[in-house]
Amino acid sequence: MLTDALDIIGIGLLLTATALAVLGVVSFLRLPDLYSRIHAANMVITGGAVPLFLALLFLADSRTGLKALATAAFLLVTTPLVTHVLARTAYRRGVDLGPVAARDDLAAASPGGTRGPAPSTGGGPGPGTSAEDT
Amino acid sequence: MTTTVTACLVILIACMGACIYRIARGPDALDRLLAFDLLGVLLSASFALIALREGAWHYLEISLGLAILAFVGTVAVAHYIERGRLF
Repeated sequence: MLTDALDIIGIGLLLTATALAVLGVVSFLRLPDLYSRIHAANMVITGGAVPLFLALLFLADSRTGLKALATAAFLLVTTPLVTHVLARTAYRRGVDLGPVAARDDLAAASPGGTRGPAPSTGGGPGPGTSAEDT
Repeated sequence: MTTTVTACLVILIACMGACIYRIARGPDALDRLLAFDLLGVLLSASFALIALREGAWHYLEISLGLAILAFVGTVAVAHYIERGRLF
């Protein structure tokens, strides 16, 4: 009976992981700019891959489950690092903020600009007009 | 249970196809890099599902290795794109 309960928990985690991975990949395909896509990819990994390895913790024997737990912990630690490095590189390279970005707080905070060569051509108001909003 | 695991595996492989589409089409190099990282992690998750389906538990080590390779490769290529050199 305990084994049945563990199986049910594991299969529930497996289905949750697959549903979140599908949601994240669909938004990864459809979101308009790179920064939003980084967010969607982060959701695929933390919401899709990590629960899948946790499901293996419930469905396999204990030694295998510990290996799966190690993989899940590794993914959980390294995903924010990858996301941060990608977003910083994109900002310094001057990747466009996209049509949904309202303002650029980092450019307003550093007047010299850490931004790359390509200027922002987003639809929202520039950093000069953003002081009125706050 | 085998049916559920197989269905999840097929869905994850379809997700990997979507990542390959983004690699082919992505407007920036960083889009391609992000899709590559996502492809590696989804491949690692698929190997875990294959291990669960076949009962071949040593496949989990392939899974851990793919996760490590995706992380190290993505960070190295992102640094290369940002600075023009690796170190």
